[in-house]
Amino acid sequence: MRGCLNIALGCALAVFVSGTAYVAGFTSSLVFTHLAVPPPPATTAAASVDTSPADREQQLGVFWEVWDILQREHYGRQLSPEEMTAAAIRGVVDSLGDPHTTYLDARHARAFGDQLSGSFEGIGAYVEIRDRRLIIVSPLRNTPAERAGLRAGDIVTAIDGEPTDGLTLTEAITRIRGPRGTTVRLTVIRPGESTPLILEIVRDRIYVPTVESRRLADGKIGYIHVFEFNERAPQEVRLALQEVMRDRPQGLILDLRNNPGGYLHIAIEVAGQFLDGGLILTERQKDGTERQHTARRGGLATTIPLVVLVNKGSASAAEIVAGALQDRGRAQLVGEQTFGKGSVQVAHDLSDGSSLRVTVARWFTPNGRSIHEQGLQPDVAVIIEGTPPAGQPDLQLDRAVQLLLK
Amino acid sequence: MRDLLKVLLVASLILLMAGTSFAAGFGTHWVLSNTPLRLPAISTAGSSPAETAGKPEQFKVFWEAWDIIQREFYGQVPDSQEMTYGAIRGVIKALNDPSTVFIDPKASRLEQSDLSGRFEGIGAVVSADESGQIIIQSPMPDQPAEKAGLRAGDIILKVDDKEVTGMPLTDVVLLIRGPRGTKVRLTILRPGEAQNLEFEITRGQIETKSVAYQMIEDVPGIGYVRLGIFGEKTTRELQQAIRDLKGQGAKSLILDLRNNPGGFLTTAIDVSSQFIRSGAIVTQRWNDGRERTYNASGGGLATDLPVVVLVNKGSASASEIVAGAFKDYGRGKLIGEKTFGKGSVQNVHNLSDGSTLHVTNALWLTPLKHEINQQGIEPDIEVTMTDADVRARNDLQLKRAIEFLQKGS
Repeated sequence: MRGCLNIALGCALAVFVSGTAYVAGFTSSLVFTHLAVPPPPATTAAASVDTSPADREQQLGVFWEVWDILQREHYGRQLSPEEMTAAAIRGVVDSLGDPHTTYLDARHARAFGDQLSGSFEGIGAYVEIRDRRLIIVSPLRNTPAERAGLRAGDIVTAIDGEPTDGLTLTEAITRIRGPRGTTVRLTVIRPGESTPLILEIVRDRIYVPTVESRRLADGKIGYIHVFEFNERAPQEVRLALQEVMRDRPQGLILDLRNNPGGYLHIAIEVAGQFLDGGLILTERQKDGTERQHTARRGGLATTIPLVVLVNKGSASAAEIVAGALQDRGRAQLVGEQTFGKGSVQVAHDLSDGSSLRVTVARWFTPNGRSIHEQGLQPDVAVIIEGTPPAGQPDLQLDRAVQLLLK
Repeated sequence: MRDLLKVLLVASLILLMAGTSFAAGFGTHWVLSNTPLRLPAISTAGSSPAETAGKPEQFKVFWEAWDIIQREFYGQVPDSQEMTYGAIRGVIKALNDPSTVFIDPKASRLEQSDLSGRFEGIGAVVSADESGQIIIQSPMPDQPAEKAGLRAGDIILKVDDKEVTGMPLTDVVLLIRGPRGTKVRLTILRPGEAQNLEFEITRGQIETKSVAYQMIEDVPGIGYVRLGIFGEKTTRELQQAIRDLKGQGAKSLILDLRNNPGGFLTTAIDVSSQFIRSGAIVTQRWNDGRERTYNASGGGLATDLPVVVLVNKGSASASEIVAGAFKDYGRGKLIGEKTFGKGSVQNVHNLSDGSTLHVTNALWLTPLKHEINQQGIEPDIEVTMTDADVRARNDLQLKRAIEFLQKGS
């Protein structure tokens, strides 16, 4: 079982990679893998299906009828056995109707896996499929996406003139990314605007930062910005906290805006810096079993007044942290309603190098709220359209500073 | 083998129809009613499952994924039959061929009910393109869809507020159909229109005639024949029409194939043969490069009359076979718009669990061996019609055809 856990870990990491990679590329880095749910040992798996290989093939009988006919008759392209297998898996995954359960064939899994180096070439925006539409979750700061004016909530209807209808997330990301210096043309519908916008965006190398910190208001306020909950985040948050707490500030701002998420266990570790023990979230699996995740004691900033900045680009792991701090009365949320992704995925590497990411659980805030498709409501709403350009006042941040100085 | 070929041919024809009109779920009941043979024979004709190639070794990954989903997926896991259908749809989607479709037993039964000839809907033929857009291929003449103002090329975005882009075509058809007298609301994207259009359409009993004809009023000597489909009785109806029109003094003919979604291959050949004395009408080409050419059957009733053919983007499949033959032989001018561009033939298979598979198994080529797939046939004389023209029944294409027959240019 321990071995199994290790394996699960390895695979979760690999996935995460693909998770961030996309992000960068743009996908949902909303991906949010979780180490606590290792696959049961193979024996259970076999037992649960309780059929011999031959019986199982029987079960798929009509599938093989179709495959035989297609191989014999289809005019045009024939699929290789690898393509057929990947297409069949993709079809099964599609039949689940869950945009977060996804399949990457071996080629794509490799392509996205290579991106873990922390940088990639693209436009720098997190994307997501919702109701079959390709949605910008958040543009990353100082990237071509942000400079071109792309905003959280924008719906991308076409990429280089090709409609995005029916594209999987991976396909969409593959099309948006490309070598630096090349241009991608996005057709964007922005809620509230009557005509579609066409944005020409020159791709660049995108570096995904993890944490930034600084002092505000003459050192009276500490500010920590977490960009995503990746493996580096706990250490970087700890270092940043040590740094800003040295000034003995009277308040702290945790900026989770446009943070698309990351690993569950990382969110728990980071939340634990601000909570002195106690419940962070409850995770519910398909069989109804629940698991409570609590903060470890010994956080660096468990009593200092705290404001958390959120917006509609705050998703998944970011919502776990913000939701826990809100429910526990530990912090006020300032900003906008959050994205609303309340499910947990586990990534599995399959034997041929392909990767299957499966929604395995829902999570609930300490007060038992599900934020799925609803998001968290801020305590103090400050709504900004888009990201304020560099040099412009950041009204949400200003409001947070104000609240803490009061 | 000859028999088998015949059988195949019939099936292909059916398909040809079914392919274009299947969509028809709402419109093609006629397709089906003209389909005496839905041949299970075909699906087993080639080889029995027992003698087919084994399952590829690579497929074991499918079971890994399947097991993980069964074990872990949060949410409703569809039963294994639904997941099997999902796998089939995935494979078909990967072919990137919108004419190859899988119809599960429920929808297949629905299609069979079309066969009975009774059909309640709005009377439009729809298709889905590669990007999942649902397109009105042709509104059927004088049916609720056409009367409400739907046009070939309209894209259906919503049916009763449900988004349909990317949905399987059968599901969309099921949503649109319903008992006569009830209403369905379609949200339409019409290329060139800034705003989406809303249509509320009262469903009716869809009745179609395959041939309508009359002498052109006020212009002596010109007969007009409109083919709605290429059904089983179409050839006989057309022959009757030609005899009648000749009897009324027709010295030239207008053959209207606009918004005709197609039908049987044999009917397309027989129809062409009424106008073309001899020679190849169409060639079918299989994946392995084999070809078979079908020639004019002879004995045509109008091989000596001047003819012009009206086409538009709703003219598909069998219509394009006829139009292609006219064009290649210079038998008569094509007037109107570029045709739909469906140059493939589908074979229909009834599968063991009651589902149906339509497989594109051949292309067809014009007499000069031109492929028309996805390209369509260009008219000799292009005459387009605006929405306003259509609404006002200002038939510019027909007017041009009359002018051409009067002046010879």
